[in-house]
Amino acid sequence: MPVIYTNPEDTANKPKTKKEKKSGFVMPENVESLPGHTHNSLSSYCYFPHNISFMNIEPGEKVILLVRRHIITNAGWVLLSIIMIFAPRVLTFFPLLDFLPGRFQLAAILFWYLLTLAIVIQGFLTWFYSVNIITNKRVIDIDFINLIYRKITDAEISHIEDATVEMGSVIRTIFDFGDIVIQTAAEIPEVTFDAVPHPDRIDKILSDLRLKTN
Amino acid sequence: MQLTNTPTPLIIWSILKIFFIIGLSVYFVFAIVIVRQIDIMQHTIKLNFELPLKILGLIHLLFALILLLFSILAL
Repeated sequence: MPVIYTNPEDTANKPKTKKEKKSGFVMPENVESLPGHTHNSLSSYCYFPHNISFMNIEPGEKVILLVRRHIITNAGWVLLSIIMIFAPRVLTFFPLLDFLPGRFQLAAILFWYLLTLAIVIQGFLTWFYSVNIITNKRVIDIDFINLIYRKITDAEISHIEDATVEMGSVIRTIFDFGDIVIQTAAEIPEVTFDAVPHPDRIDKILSDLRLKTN
Repeated sequence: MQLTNTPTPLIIWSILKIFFIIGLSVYFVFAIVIVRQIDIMQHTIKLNFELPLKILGLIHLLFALILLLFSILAL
């Protein structure tokens, strides 16, 4: 059975450094060998990520888990982009722009590729920056809705009342991803992790953290 | 008298050029917003992928600027 979360109380790890004693949180010794630990910045699931920080991080706060939507959820905009890249080829068979002068045709095609690039950037940024972070003190949900709107929600671990895992389709079952709805007693009643990989592992991590906090 | 010899097509192309310039100007502002948003997000959360994203945003902005200049000067 792989180790999903190493509870400091369950191990022989005791606070060694001043920082660890102050925060009461002990980093597992064998972080590199833990399942889900990776140095890949584009990973959807990163357990004890390296060099990750965010605005308003508190002293002694450690990032335990960073998750974002499963990579398969990008299939829609990736397919659309591929179709858009090859779409101007249609013009060689169906000369739809022939009524325009040459320079207008060139401008129209370049504009088309510019739009394609915008779709790629929008799709990638939305995926990349919509992250969920679990630290030893709180859960943070950063939603990059689109290029002009973002939403950041956080709730303390001690305020979490319940976490529900939702997996409801064939694709989600095959690729092992789903939603986690976290009910809190804070002002914001709900924090949702959308389409995150290994929801059961995440639920276990949250449960262990809640037990430790309570 | 052929249709292409009348001044009407010239007016049509001029109107089309104006539409192109307006559209690309709006798009140029959008490209600036992308660069700014990348910058803001990099201050919000550091994920060790700052440089490639910044370059991607700047390439997009440059592409938009070149096309805007092309539509002003060459159309």
